[in-house]
Amino acid sequence: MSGPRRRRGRPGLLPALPPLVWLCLFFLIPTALVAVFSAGESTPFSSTPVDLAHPTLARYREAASDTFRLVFVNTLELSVVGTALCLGLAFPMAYLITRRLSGRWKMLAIAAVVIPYWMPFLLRTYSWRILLGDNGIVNSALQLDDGLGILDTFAGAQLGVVYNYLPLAVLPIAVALDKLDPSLRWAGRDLGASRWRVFWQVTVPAARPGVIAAALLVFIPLMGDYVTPSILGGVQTPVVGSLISESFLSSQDWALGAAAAVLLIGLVGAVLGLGWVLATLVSRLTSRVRPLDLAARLRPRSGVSAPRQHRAERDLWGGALRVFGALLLATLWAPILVMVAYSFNRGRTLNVWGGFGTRWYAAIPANEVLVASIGVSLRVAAVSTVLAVALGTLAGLALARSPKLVRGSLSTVLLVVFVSPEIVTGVGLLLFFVSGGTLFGDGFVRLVLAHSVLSIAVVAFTVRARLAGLDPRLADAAADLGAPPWAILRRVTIPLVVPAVVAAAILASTFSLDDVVVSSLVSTVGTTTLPVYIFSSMRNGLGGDAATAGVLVMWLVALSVLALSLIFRRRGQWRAFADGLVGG
Amino acid sequence: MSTRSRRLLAMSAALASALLGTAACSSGNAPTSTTSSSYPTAIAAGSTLHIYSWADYIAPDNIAAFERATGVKVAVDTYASSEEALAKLRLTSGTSGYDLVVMDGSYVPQLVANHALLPWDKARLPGMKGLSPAFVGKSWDPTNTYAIPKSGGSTGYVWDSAVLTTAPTSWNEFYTAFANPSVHGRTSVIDGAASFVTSYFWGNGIDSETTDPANYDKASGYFASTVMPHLKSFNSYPRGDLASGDVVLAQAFTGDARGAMIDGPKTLRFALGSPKTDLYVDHWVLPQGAGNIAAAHAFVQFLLEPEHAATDTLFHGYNTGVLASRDHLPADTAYLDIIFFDRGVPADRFVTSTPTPQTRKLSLQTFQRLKAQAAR
Repeated sequence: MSGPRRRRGRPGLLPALPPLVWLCLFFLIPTALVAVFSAGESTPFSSTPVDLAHPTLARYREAASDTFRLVFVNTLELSVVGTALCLGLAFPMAYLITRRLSGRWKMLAIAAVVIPYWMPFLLRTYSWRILLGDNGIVNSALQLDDGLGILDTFAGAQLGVVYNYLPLAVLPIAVALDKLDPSLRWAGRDLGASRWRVFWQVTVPAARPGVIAAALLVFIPLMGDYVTPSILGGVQTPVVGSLISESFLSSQDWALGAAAAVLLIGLVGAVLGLGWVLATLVSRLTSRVRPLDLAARLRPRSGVSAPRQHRAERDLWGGALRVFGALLLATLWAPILVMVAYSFNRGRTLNVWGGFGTRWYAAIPANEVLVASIGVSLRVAAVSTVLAVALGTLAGLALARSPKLVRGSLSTVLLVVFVSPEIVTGVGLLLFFVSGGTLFGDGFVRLVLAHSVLSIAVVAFTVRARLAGLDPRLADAAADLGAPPWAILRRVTIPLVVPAVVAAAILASTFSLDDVVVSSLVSTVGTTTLPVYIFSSMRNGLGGDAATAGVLVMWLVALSVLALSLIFRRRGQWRAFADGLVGG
Repeated sequence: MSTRSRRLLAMSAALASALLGTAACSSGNAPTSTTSSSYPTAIAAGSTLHIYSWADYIAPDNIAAFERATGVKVAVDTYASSEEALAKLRLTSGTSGYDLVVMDGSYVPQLVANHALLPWDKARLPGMKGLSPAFVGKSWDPTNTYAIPKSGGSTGYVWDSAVLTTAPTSWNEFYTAFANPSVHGRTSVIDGAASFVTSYFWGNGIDSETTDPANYDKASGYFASTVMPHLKSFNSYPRGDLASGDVVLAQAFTGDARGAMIDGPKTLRFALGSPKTDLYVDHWVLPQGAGNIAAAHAFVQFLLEPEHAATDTLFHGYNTGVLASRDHLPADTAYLDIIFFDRGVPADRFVTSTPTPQTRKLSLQTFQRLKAQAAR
């Protein structure tokens, strides 16, 4: 293949440029401002928050305390175990959805995985308290004397994070598995490979980019999350995210908070690096030792009758998978159904049942602040998702196809965006928007920009998970046949990535609908979002109105997505969109 | 550090300062030149009053009545924490867009020092005369120039008298009760250094703004042995857990305690912290750059009128400090004594806190160390 043709068919720097510029402008510059604070001394009573006249590293010494070490180790344990559990649960689920279900069942399963995550984060987490409390639903049903003992323990936090991050693992893996041509597996079987061998040598390699994306998408936000552990983890689960946030907020010590944040970013980077090295070593080792070949050599061939036997086994396996899927979905929906039920709680305190009533539904129209916040959240989610999907898809394309240098710098930036604690991003963006004057005066614009930045990474990694395993020569072939770059993008690349883009859009919308800290900081008059309102209402006791609003938003988003997919399906040229959801 | 990295650090510091400078400059008018008597007095019907507050913190009936009376539209935005609102007012001074903000008293000195607030024209707030002496003239704003009390509360303990039969009468008795086997693993304290760490000082005659590290070591040692082994969770709002019965002994704010007692087991009891406890008061502040100053004054005066204050109290359950509002509350209002927690209590029982950066740092360090040591 000659050089020029390569250049024509494959993207260089071009697709990486828009997301890079966007992230530089709305993330790197603002966050760098805050990072620089770590070299100064906080001056809460002066008009500048940090005195930078005498640069010092003293804050880093202060941040690298015993407290930080203890809490970091605790957070790391929570995150590593949480990521492993998420991947372990997500892989069979994704496998079931993409390989064993089709048509309507497939769409239903995807919807059942996704819809719970349009319920506001705080509510779906808090719901576990209603379920698992000493006087909660499960315990009342089981009549245990000592309680379940899960709530307010490390296990409770572990359960909460696995629950909250599961779709971030399921969707990327599903998107990667979905592209695997079933005939490849049959070819493997026809050539005499065992079921396990086909699984390990055909299915797993195809899923690998998805698993990598899933691991990143779960592990990184988990290292920064402090809301889930604080709601479900009790005293046993102090986490780094809250250390940093408390420095910024409760002691107004921005210099120390910034130093701790930089420290965390560095450490997470180191952990990721270590993980990468380990993964490379393991894959080198397995390609040397070839354990499957060894196993095959040790086992006697089973002869002609084997296929029938395999089919019987497979059906058993398929049944087990379906049972597993049903159980997992039931778990995903349990807290959601509890929230739905408790939105009909006539009592004032959300978690204490005071009889059935539609009081809170009736009260919503009169609650102007709440109604407005629902509107703001839905509009911001819609626009920021479109933006994040556009920029993130380009970034994902670049991550899969661009030259190494471009890939390297883009993925570094995306990882830093993802690793940065929300409070740092929020303060940085606020500083940036304020210095931009009237250009960024509009609260809606600020929220859309901020949320787009928060979601680009999730879109990029999901799209990469799809493209990484696809043959890049498809684009070359199109170029050879005389297609101009735009046509290649439209006719070849986009149809290939559509399922990933749809999955990424869903994840991006949940990011937007869950964000509290950044939204609270950058919003201006008239742009309070629903999650901010719900957090705020905790002060006067989380009530039925919050739950009702959460339930309404969840169904509103679900119905809008359904409507969108129906519209797209009717318009022939966008058939691919609906196929992405249905799996055509 | 090498000379080069030092220079690099200095350069980036200078750059950040410059950008911060732009932020400060773009925030508009010079902060000190304003005098409260020069504010416009005419309330423009059809204008909007933008309020920044906690959610569900102003009675909708009051908002509707004010809108009818003045023709001014009231639009409320909410913040997720007062610290986030503080950060926002501080960074945007002049461009936040809000006309009226609810702010915790302990942050007022900082905002004043940040030039983020405008003084009130108290001549337009005759209702201030009716405020409880417990709420006005506090250390955070001794002349109430920048901050007008909106509603407040204090901190104490809630226990289930069916489980814990002896009532704790002081912070020390409260914390000693954590070792009682019947409450083990069913306890919570407030998730904030200023409430939890400082309660040791309230209980032991130590200045709550102490900067002596030895005092923090004492607090840390006390909590590590007395409280942490028996503690279930840090929870600023244990209302739900108390009401469900999952928690039977908790440090709690007055408003939260009252909510729990209304909806929870009838055996729940509350007592104000002793010998000292805190007083926290949310205030109305005028942010720098407020546009609708005349309506802001009118709204605050409207809520200082006793019948409106009573409506507000019924809605959010907090004491507005308006003494005469009690006469407008129905006689069967639940737990009136918790709402008016300051009644008949000597004023010196309440400590108002205006912590210095040093106090905050020491207190947070102590708090975070305690939390870290509890890690599994």
